[in-house]
Amino acid sequence: MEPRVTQPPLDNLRDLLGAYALGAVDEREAAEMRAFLKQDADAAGELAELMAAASVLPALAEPMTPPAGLRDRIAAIAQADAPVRPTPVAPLTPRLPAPSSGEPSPSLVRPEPAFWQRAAVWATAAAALLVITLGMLYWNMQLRSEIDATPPMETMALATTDMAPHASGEVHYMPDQGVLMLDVKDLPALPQGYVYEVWLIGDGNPVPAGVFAHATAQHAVAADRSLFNTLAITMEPGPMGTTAPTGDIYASASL
Amino acid sequence: MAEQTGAMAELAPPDDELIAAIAQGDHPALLALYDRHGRLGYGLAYRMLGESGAAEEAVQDAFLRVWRRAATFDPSRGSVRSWLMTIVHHCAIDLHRKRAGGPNVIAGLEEIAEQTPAPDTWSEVSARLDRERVRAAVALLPRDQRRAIELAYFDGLTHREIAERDGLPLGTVKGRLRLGLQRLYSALAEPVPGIVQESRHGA
Repeated sequence: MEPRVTQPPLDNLRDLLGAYALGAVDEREAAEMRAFLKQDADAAGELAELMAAASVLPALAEPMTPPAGLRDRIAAIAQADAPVRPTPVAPLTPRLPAPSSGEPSPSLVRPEPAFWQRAAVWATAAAALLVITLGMLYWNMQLRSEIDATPPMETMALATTDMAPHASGEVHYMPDQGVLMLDVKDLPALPQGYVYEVWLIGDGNPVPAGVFAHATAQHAVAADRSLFNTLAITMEPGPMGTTAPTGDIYASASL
Repeated sequence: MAEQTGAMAELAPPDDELIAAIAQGDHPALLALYDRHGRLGYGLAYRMLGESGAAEEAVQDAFLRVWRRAATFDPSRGSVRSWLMTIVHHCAIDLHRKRAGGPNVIAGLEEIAEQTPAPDTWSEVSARLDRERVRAAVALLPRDQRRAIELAYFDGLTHREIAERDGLPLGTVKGRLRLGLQRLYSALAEPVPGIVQESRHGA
Protein backbone atom coordinates (compact mmCIF):
# COMPACT_ATOMS: atom_id res chain seq x y z
CA MET A 1 0.00 0.00 0.00
CA GLU A 2 2.98 2.32 -0.35
CA PRO A 3 2.39 5.30 -2.63
CA ARG A 4 3.65 4.64 -6.12
CA VAL A 5 6.69 6.53 -7.24
CA THR A 6 6.61 5.37 -10.83
CA GLN A 7 4.18 6.49 -13.52
CA PRO A 8 0.86 4.89 -12.63
CA PRO A 9 -0.80 2.55 -15.08
CA LEU A 10 -3.56 4.12 -17.12
CA ASP A 11 -6.19 1.94 -15.46
CA ASN A 12 -5.25 3.53 -12.15
CA LEU A 13 -5.82 6.96 -13.62
CA ARG A 14 -9.19 5.95 -14.95
CA ASP A 15 -10.09 4.72 -11.47
CA LEU A 16 -9.19 8.14 -10.17
CA LEU A 17 -11.73 9.99 -12.34
CA GLY A 18 -14.33 10.20 -9.56
CA ALA A 19 -11.87 11.63 -7.06
CA TYR A 20 -10.62 14.04 -9.72
CA ALA A 21 -14.15 15.23 -10.52
CA LEU A 22 -14.62 16.03 -6.83
CA GLY A 23 -11.27 17.77 -6.42
CA ALA A 24 -10.18 14.98 -4.05
CA VAL A 25 -6.71 14.49 -5.50
CA ASP A 26 -3.34 16.06 -4.85
CA GLU A 27 -1.39 18.17 -7.32
CA ARG A 28 0.74 15.33 -8.63
CA GLU A 29 -2.28 13.21 -9.38
CA ALA A 30 -4.01 16.14 -11.00
CA ALA A 31 -1.05 16.73 -13.30
CA GLU A 32 -0.98 13.07 -14.28
CA MET A 33 -4.68 13.15 -14.91
CA ARG A 34 -4.47 16.21 -17.13
CA ALA A 35 -1.88 14.51 -19.29
CA PHE A 36 -3.94 11.33 -19.37
CA LEU A 37 -7.12 13.10 -20.41
CA LYS A 38 -5.44 14.65 -23.41
CA GLN A 39 -4.73 11.17 -24.72
CA ASP A 40 -7.96 9.42 -23.83
CA ALA A 41 -11.19 10.86 -25.21
CA ASP A 42 -13.31 8.19 -23.51
CA ALA A 43 -11.95 9.13 -20.14
CA ALA A 44 -12.56 12.81 -20.90
CA GLY A 45 -16.14 11.97 -21.78
CA GLU A 46 -16.62 10.06 -18.56
CA LEU A 47 -15.10 12.90 -16.59
CA ALA A 48 -17.63 15.29 -18.10
CA GLU A 49 -20.44 13.12 -16.77
CA LEU A 50 -18.86 12.75 -13.35
CA MET A 51 -18.32 16.50 -13.08
CA ALA A 52 -21.90 17.08 -14.14
CA ALA A 53 -23.01 14.79 -11.31
CA ALA A 54 -20.72 16.57 -8.85
CA SER A 55 -22.17 19.92 -9.92
CA VAL A 56 -25.56 19.08 -8.39
CA LEU A 57 -24.20 18.30 -4.93
CA PRO A 58 -24.69 21.86 -3.59
CA ALA A 59 -28.39 20.99 -3.58
CA LEU A 60 -27.65 18.89 -0.50
CA ALA A 61 -26.68 22.01 1.45
CA GLU A 62 -29.35 24.10 3.12
CA PRO A 63 -29.41 27.72 1.92
CA MET A 64 -28.59 30.10 4.76
CA THR A 65 -28.82 33.84 5.08
CA PRO A 66 -25.27 35.22 5.07
CA PRO A 67 -24.14 37.71 7.72
CA ALA A 68 -25.42 41.19 7.00
CA GLY A 69 -22.05 42.77 6.27
CA LEU A 70 -20.95 40.31 3.60
CA ARG A 71 -22.85 41.92 0.74
CA ASP A 72 -21.32 45.34 1.43
CA ARG A 73 -17.85 43.83 1.71
CA ILE A 74 -18.20 42.09 -1.62
CA ALA A 75 -19.36 45.39 -3.12
CA ALA A 76 -16.41 47.22 -1.57
CA ILE A 77 -13.89 44.65 -2.74
CA ALA A 78 -15.22 44.67 -6.27
CA GLN A 79 -15.11 48.44 -6.25
CA ALA A 80 -11.56 48.44 -4.95
CA ASP A 81 -10.68 45.95 -7.67
CA ALA A 82 -12.06 48.32 -10.28
CA PRO A 83 -8.73 49.64 -11.63
CA VAL A 84 -7.97 46.27 -13.21
CA ARG A 85 -11.47 45.95 -14.63
CA PRO A 86 -12.73 47.20 -17.96
CA THR A 87 -14.84 50.31 -17.68
CA PRO A 88 -18.50 49.52 -18.03
CA VAL A 89 -19.47 50.30 -21.59
CA ALA A 90 -23.13 50.73 -20.71
CA PRO A 91 -25.34 50.11 -17.75
CA LEU A 92 -27.06 46.76 -17.82
CA THR A 93 -30.58 47.92 -17.31
CA PRO A 94 -31.24 49.76 -20.58
CA ARG A 95 -30.59 46.54 -22.53
CA LEU A 96 -33.31 44.72 -20.68
CA PRO A 97 -36.84 44.27 -21.91
CA ALA A 98 -39.50 45.86 -19.77
CA PRO A 99 -40.84 43.39 -17.25
CA SER A 100 -44.24 41.95 -17.98
CA SER A 101 -45.63 43.34 -14.76
CA GLY A 102 -45.31 46.81 -16.18
CA GLU A 103 -42.87 47.87 -13.50
CA PRO A 104 -40.36 50.39 -14.81
CA SER A 105 -37.18 48.59 -15.83
CA PRO A 106 -34.76 51.06 -14.23
CA SER A 107 -35.67 49.58 -10.86
CA LEU A 108 -34.31 46.13 -11.77
CA VAL A 109 -30.60 46.44 -11.23
CA ARG A 110 -29.37 49.82 -10.30
CA PRO A 111 -26.31 51.06 -8.56
CA GLU A 112 -26.89 51.86 -4.94
CA PRO A 113 -26.62 55.64 -5.10
CA ALA A 114 -26.26 56.27 -1.43
CA PHE A 115 -23.59 53.62 -1.09
CA TRP A 116 -21.48 54.56 -4.07
CA GLN A 117 -21.92 58.27 -3.69
CA ARG A 118 -20.61 57.87 -0.20
CA ALA A 119 -17.71 55.92 -1.65
CA ALA A 120 -16.38 59.10 -3.22
CA VAL A 121 -16.54 60.81 0.12
CA TRP A 122 -14.70 57.93 1.74
CA ALA A 123 -12.04 58.06 -0.90
CA THR A 124 -11.43 61.70 -0.13
CA ALA A 125 -11.47 61.03 3.57
CA ALA A 126 -9.21 58.03 3.10
CA ALA A 127 -6.69 60.06 1.11
CA ALA A 128 -6.62 62.72 3.79
CA LEU A 129 -6.26 60.15 6.50
CA LEU A 130 -3.49 58.42 4.59
CA VAL A 131 -1.45 61.62 4.72
CA ILE A 132 -2.29 62.01 8.37
CA THR A 133 -1.36 58.41 9.02
CA LEU A 134 2.05 58.79 7.43
CA GLY A 135 2.66 61.85 9.57
CA MET A 136 1.48 59.96 12.57
CA LEU A 137 4.17 57.32 12.24
CA TYR A 138 6.58 59.74 13.86
CA TRP A 139 4.02 61.53 15.98
CA ASN A 140 2.69 58.23 17.26
CA MET A 141 6.04 57.31 18.71
CA GLN A 142 6.36 60.65 20.45
CA LEU A 143 2.83 60.57 21.76
CA ARG A 144 3.14 57.09 23.16
CA SER A 145 5.94 58.17 25.40
CA GLU A 146 3.99 61.23 26.53
CA ILE A 147 0.86 59.24 27.27
CA ASP A 148 2.66 57.17 29.83
CA ALA A 149 2.87 60.31 31.91
CA THR A 150 -0.59 61.63 31.12
CA PRO A 151 -3.55 59.95 32.76
CA PRO A 152 -6.26 59.13 30.21
CA MET A 153 -9.45 61.05 30.72
CA GLU A 154 -11.80 58.30 29.63
CA THR A 155 -11.31 54.59 29.12
CA MET A 156 -13.46 52.26 27.05
CA ALA A 157 -13.20 48.49 27.05
CA LEU A 158 -12.15 46.75 23.87
CA ALA A 159 -14.52 43.89 23.06
CA THR A 160 -12.94 41.04 21.16
CA THR A 161 -14.63 38.64 18.75
CA ASP A 162 -14.18 34.94 18.02
CA MET A 163 -11.44 35.97 15.60
CA ALA A 164 -9.29 37.08 18.52
CA PRO A 165 -10.26 34.92 21.51
CA HIS A 166 -7.15 35.72 23.54
CA ALA A 167 -6.96 39.43 22.85
CA SER A 168 -7.79 42.17 25.30
CA GLY A 169 -7.36 45.88 25.53
CA GLU A 170 -8.74 49.35 26.03
CA VAL A 171 -9.25 52.59 24.21
CA HIS A 172 -8.35 55.79 26.01
CA TYR A 173 -9.73 59.15 24.93
CA MET A 174 -8.02 62.39 25.79
CA PRO A 175 -10.41 65.22 24.94
CA ASP A 176 -7.86 67.95 25.53
CA GLN A 177 -5.64 66.55 22.86
CA GLY A 178 -8.44 65.07 20.76
CA VAL A 179 -6.65 61.76 20.74
CA LEU A 180 -7.86 58.19 20.87
CA MET A 181 -5.25 55.77 22.14
CA LEU A 182 -5.72 52.11 21.38
CA ASP A 183 -3.93 49.69 23.69
CA VAL A 184 -4.37 46.08 22.58
CA LYS A 185 -2.54 42.87 23.32
CA ASP A 186 -2.53 39.25 22.22
CA LEU A 187 -4.24 39.59 18.88
CA PRO A 188 -3.57 36.56 16.65
CA ALA A 189 -0.17 36.54 14.96
CA LEU A 190 -0.29 38.28 11.62
CA PRO A 191 0.31 36.24 8.47
CA GLN A 192 3.08 37.59 6.29
CA GLY A 193 1.93 40.54 4.23
CA TYR A 194 -0.93 41.54 6.52
CA VAL A 195 -1.44 44.29 9.07
CA TYR A 196 -4.08 45.21 11.57
CA GLU A 197 -6.06 48.22 10.52
CA VAL A 198 -8.01 50.56 12.79
CA TRP A 199 -11.37 51.94 11.68
CA LEU A 200 -13.51 54.72 13.05
CA ILE A 201 -17.19 54.27 12.38
CA GLY A 202 -19.79 56.99 12.62
CA ASP A 203 -23.00 57.53 10.73
CA GLY A 204 -21.39 56.68 7.43
CA ASN A 205 -18.99 53.95 6.54
CA PRO A 206 -15.75 53.03 8.29
CA VAL A 207 -12.92 55.52 7.96
CA PRO A 208 -9.38 54.10 7.98
CA ALA A 209 -7.39 55.31 10.96
CA GLY A 210 -3.99 53.74 10.56
CA VAL A 211 -2.35 50.35 10.71
CA PHE A 212 -0.07 48.41 13.03
CA ALA A 213 1.87 45.24 12.49
CA HIS A 214 2.12 43.59 15.89
CA ALA A 215 -0.21 41.40 17.91
CA THR A 216 0.37 43.65 20.92
CA ALA A 217 0.44 47.33 20.17
CA GLN A 218 -0.43 50.85 21.14
CA HIS A 219 -1.83 53.05 18.44
CA ALA A 220 -2.81 56.71 18.63
CA VAL A 221 -5.36 58.39 16.39
CA ALA A 222 -6.16 62.09 16.25
CA ALA A 223 -9.93 62.21 16.01
CA ASP A 224 -12.98 64.11 17.15
CA ARG A 225 -14.77 61.41 19.07
CA SER A 226 -18.15 63.08 18.65
CA LEU A 227 -18.10 62.14 14.97
CA PHE A 228 -17.75 58.42 15.65
CA ASN A 229 -19.42 55.82 17.76
CA THR A 230 -17.20 52.78 17.24
CA LEU A 231 -13.55 51.90 16.84
CA ALA A 232 -12.87 48.55 15.20
CA ILE A 233 -9.85 46.49 14.20
CA THR A 234 -9.65 44.23 11.15
CA MET A 235 -6.84 42.35 9.45
CA GLU A 236 -6.03 43.73 6.01
CA PRO A 237 -3.37 43.37 3.32
CA GLY A 238 -0.22 45.27 4.25
CA PRO A 239 1.74 47.33 4.39
CA MET A 240 -0.72 50.18 4.02
CA GLY A 241 -4.05 48.49 4.70
CA THR A 242 -7.12 49.24 2.64
CA THR A 243 -9.50 52.15 2.20
CA ALA A 244 -12.52 50.07 3.20
CA PRO A 245 -12.57 47.06 5.52
CA THR A 246 -12.44 43.68 3.85
CA GLY A 247 -11.73 41.39 6.79
CA ASP A 248 -13.53 40.27 9.92
CA ILE A 249 -13.60 42.46 13.00
CA TYR A 250 -11.13 41.23 15.61
CA ALA A 251 -12.01 43.75 18.29
CA SER A 252 -14.08 46.87 18.72
CA ALA A 253 -14.93 49.53 21.27
CA SER A 254 -17.94 51.78 21.67
CA LEU A 255 -16.70 55.35 21.77
CA MET B 1 -33.51 43.21 4.49
CA ALA B 2 -33.46 39.57 3.44
CA GLU B 3 -36.92 39.91 1.95
CA GLN B 4 -35.84 42.99 0.07
CA THR B 5 -32.83 41.39 -1.45
CA GLY B 6 -34.90 38.30 -2.23
CA ALA B 7 -37.41 40.41 -4.08
CA MET B 8 -34.64 42.19 -5.93
CA ALA B 9 -33.18 38.84 -6.88
CA GLU B 10 -36.49 37.79 -8.37
CA LEU B 11 -36.71 40.95 -10.43
CA ALA B 12 -33.14 40.98 -11.64
CA PRO B 13 -32.22 39.84 -15.14
CA PRO B 14 -31.37 36.20 -15.92
CA ASP B 15 -28.06 34.87 -14.67
CA ASP B 16 -26.38 34.83 -18.05
CA GLU B 17 -27.16 38.53 -18.55
CA LEU B 18 -25.80 39.28 -15.10
CA ILE B 19 -22.58 37.44 -15.88
CA ALA B 20 -22.20 39.33 -19.16
CA ALA B 21 -22.68 42.59 -17.30
CA ILE B 22 -20.23 41.57 -14.56
CA ALA B 23 -17.67 40.83 -17.25
CA GLN B 24 -18.08 44.46 -18.28
CA GLY B 25 -17.42 45.68 -14.76
CA ASP B 26 -21.02 46.23 -13.67
CA HIS B 27 -21.08 46.24 -9.85
CA PRO B 28 -24.85 46.13 -9.39
CA ALA B 29 -24.95 43.00 -11.53
CA LEU B 30 -22.49 41.32 -9.16
CA LEU B 31 -24.68 42.23 -6.21
CA ALA B 32 -27.78 41.00 -8.03
CA LEU B 33 -26.05 37.68 -8.56
CA TYR B 34 -25.15 37.63 -4.88
CA ASP B 35 -28.74 38.41 -3.90
CA ARG B 36 -29.94 35.50 -5.97
CA HIS B 37 -27.37 32.86 -5.09
CA GLY B 38 -25.64 34.13 -1.96
CA ARG B 39 -27.83 32.07 0.39
CA LEU B 40 -27.06 28.83 -1.38
CA GLY B 41 -23.38 29.70 -1.65
CA TYR B 42 -23.20 30.57 2.03
CA GLY B 43 -25.14 27.44 2.98
CA LEU B 44 -22.72 25.33 0.96
CA ALA B 45 -19.66 27.00 2.45
CA TYR B 46 -21.11 26.74 5.96
CA ARG B 47 -21.81 23.04 5.56
CA MET B 48 -18.24 22.52 4.39
CA LEU B 49 -16.48 24.71 6.93
CA GLY B 50 -18.81 24.53 9.92
CA GLU B 51 -18.49 28.10 11.10
CA SER B 52 -19.74 31.43 9.94
CA GLY B 53 -16.49 33.37 9.72
CA ALA B 54 -14.83 30.87 7.43
CA ALA B 55 -17.96 30.44 5.34
CA GLU B 56 -18.17 34.17 4.92
CA GLU B 57 -14.55 34.31 3.80
CA ALA B 58 -15.09 31.54 1.25
CA VAL B 59 -18.14 33.24 -0.23
CA GLN B 60 -16.34 36.55 -0.35
CA ASP B 61 -13.40 34.94 -2.16
CA ALA B 62 -15.78 33.22 -4.55
CA PHE B 63 -17.57 36.39 -5.57
CA LEU B 64 -14.27 38.16 -6.05
CA ARG B 65 -13.26 35.34 -8.41
CA VAL B 66 -16.56 35.68 -10.23
CA TRP B 67 -15.93 39.39 -10.51
CA ARG B 68 -12.52 38.78 -12.03
CA ARG B 69 -13.35 35.74 -14.15
CA ALA B 70 -16.88 36.40 -15.40
CA ALA B 71 -15.59 36.71 -18.95
CA THR B 72 -14.46 33.08 -18.84
CA PHE B 73 -17.94 31.73 -18.14
CA ASP B 74 -19.22 29.55 -20.97
CA PRO B 75 -22.94 28.74 -20.87
CA SER B 76 -22.44 25.63 -22.98
CA ARG B 77 -20.67 24.03 -19.99
CA GLY B 78 -23.51 24.46 -17.54
CA SER B 79 -25.54 27.00 -15.67
CA VAL B 80 -24.23 30.10 -13.96
CA ARG B 81 -25.42 28.68 -10.67
CA SER B 82 -23.40 25.48 -11.15
CA TRP B 83 -20.36 27.50 -12.12
CA LEU B 84 -20.73 29.79 -9.15
CA MET B 85 -21.22 26.90 -6.73
CA THR B 86 -18.15 25.18 -8.17
CA ILE B 87 -16.18 28.29 -7.36
CA VAL B 88 -17.63 28.53 -3.84
CA HIS B 89 -16.79 24.87 -3.34
CA HIS B 90 -13.20 25.33 -4.45
CA CYS B 91 -12.76 28.43 -2.30
CA ALA B 92 -14.10 26.54 0.71
CA ILE B 93 -11.85 23.53 0.07
CA ASP B 94 -8.92 25.88 -0.32
CA LEU B 95 -9.66 27.52 3.00
CA HIS B 96 -10.31 24.22 4.72
CA ARG B 97 -7.03 22.69 3.56
CA LYS B 98 -5.03 25.78 4.42
CA ARG B 99 -6.42 25.70 7.94
CA ALA B 100 -5.98 21.98 8.30
CA GLY B 101 -2.46 22.03 6.89
CA GLY B 102 -3.53 19.57 4.24
CA PRO B 103 -2.61 19.50 0.56
CA ASN B 104 -3.30 22.61 -1.46
CA VAL B 105 -6.23 22.71 -3.74
CA ILE B 106 -5.06 21.38 -7.04
CA ALA B 107 -3.85 24.17 -9.24
CA GLY B 108 -6.29 25.30 -11.84
CA LEU B 109 -9.20 23.27 -10.56
CA GLU B 110 -11.61 25.91 -11.74
CA GLU B 111 -10.00 26.00 -15.12
CA ILE B 112 -10.45 22.24 -15.35
CA ALA B 113 -14.13 22.64 -14.64
CA GLU B 114 -14.36 25.44 -17.15
CA GLN B 115 -12.60 23.46 -19.83
CA THR B 116 -14.54 20.26 -19.37
CA PRO B 117 -17.52 20.33 -21.70
CA ALA B 118 -20.79 19.28 -20.15
CA PRO B 119 -22.33 16.13 -21.62
CA ASP B 120 -24.85 16.68 -24.41
CA THR B 121 -28.20 17.92 -23.14
CA TRP B 122 -26.84 18.29 -19.61
CA SER B 123 -27.49 22.02 -19.43
CA GLU B 124 -31.10 21.34 -20.35
CA VAL B 125 -31.31 18.54 -17.81
CA SER B 126 -29.65 20.50 -15.04
CA ALA B 127 -31.97 23.45 -15.58
CA ARG B 128 -34.90 21.17 -14.69
CA LEU B 129 -33.31 19.66 -11.62
CA ASP B 130 -34.73 20.70 -8.32
CA ARG B 131 -33.41 20.16 -4.84
CA GLU B 132 -35.76 17.32 -3.97
CA ARG B 133 -34.91 15.37 -7.07
CA VAL B 134 -31.20 15.67 -6.42
CA ARG B 135 -31.65 14.62 -2.81
CA ALA B 136 -33.74 11.67 -3.82
CA ALA B 137 -31.11 10.55 -6.30
CA VAL B 138 -28.31 10.89 -3.75
CA ALA B 139 -30.37 9.05 -1.14
CA LEU B 140 -30.64 6.08 -3.47
CA LEU B 141 -26.88 5.70 -3.74
CA PRO B 142 -25.35 2.81 -1.79
CA ARG B 143 -24.43 4.10 1.63
CA ASP B 144 -20.68 3.60 1.21
CA GLN B 145 -20.64 5.50 -2.05
CA ARG B 146 -22.69 8.33 -0.61
CA ARG B 147 -20.40 8.61 2.39
CA ALA B 148 -17.28 8.69 0.22
CA ILE B 149 -18.76 11.39 -2.00
CA GLU B 150 -19.85 13.48 0.96
CA LEU B 151 -16.46 13.21 2.64
CA ALA B 152 -14.78 14.32 -0.55
CA TYR B 153 -17.22 17.05 -1.50
CA PHE B 154 -18.32 18.54 1.81
CA ASP B 155 -15.35 17.74 4.04
CA GLY B 156 -12.78 18.50 1.36
CA LEU B 157 -10.90 15.25 1.94
CA THR B 158 -8.73 13.71 -0.73
CA HIS B 159 -9.24 10.06 -1.61
CA ARG B 160 -6.13 9.22 0.41
CA GLU B 161 -7.51 11.01 3.46
CA ILE B 162 -10.82 9.19 3.12
CA ALA B 163 -8.98 5.88 2.90
CA GLU B 164 -7.00 6.71 6.04
CA ARG B 165 -10.03 7.90 7.93
CA ASP B 166 -12.15 4.87 7.14
CA GLY B 167 -9.32 2.34 7.06
CA LEU B 168 -9.97 1.35 3.47
CA PRO B 169 -7.70 0.51 0.54
CA LEU B 170 -7.20 3.41 -1.85
CA GLY B 171 -8.72 1.43 -4.68
CA THR B 172 -11.94 0.95 -2.73
CA VAL B 173 -12.31 4.66 -2.11
CA LYS B 174 -11.53 5.57 -5.71
CA GLY B 175 -14.08 3.02 -6.87
CA ARG B 176 -16.78 4.32 -4.55
CA LEU B 177 -16.27 7.89 -5.68
CA ARG B 178 -16.34 6.99 -9.32
CA LEU B 179 -19.24 4.54 -9.16
CA GLY B 180 -21.26 6.84 -6.94
CA LEU B 181 -20.95 9.74 -9.36
CA GLN B 182 -21.71 7.47 -12.29
CA ARG B 183 -24.89 6.30 -10.61
CA LEU B 184 -25.86 9.82 -9.68
CA TYR B 185 -25.37 11.00 -13.23
CA SER B 186 -27.42 8.14 -14.62
CA ALA B 187 -30.21 8.78 -12.14
CA LEU B 188 -30.40 12.45 -13.04
CA ALA B 189 -29.66 12.42 -16.75
CA GLU B 190 -31.90 9.51 -17.58
CA PRO B 191 -34.99 9.81 -15.45
CA VAL B 192 -35.71 6.64 -13.56
CA PRO B 193 -39.30 5.77 -12.67
CA GLY B 194 -39.65 5.95 -8.96
CA ILE B 195 -37.17 8.77 -8.64
CA VAL B 196 -38.71 11.29 -10.95
CA GLN B 197 -42.37 11.09 -10.27
CA GLU B 198 -43.04 14.40 -11.87
CA SER B 199 -41.88 13.30 -15.35
CA ARG B 200 -44.96 12.30 -17.19
CA HIS B 201 -44.10 12.37 -20.87
CA GLY B 202 -46.27 10.82 -23.53
CA ALA B 203 -49.38 10.57 -21.42
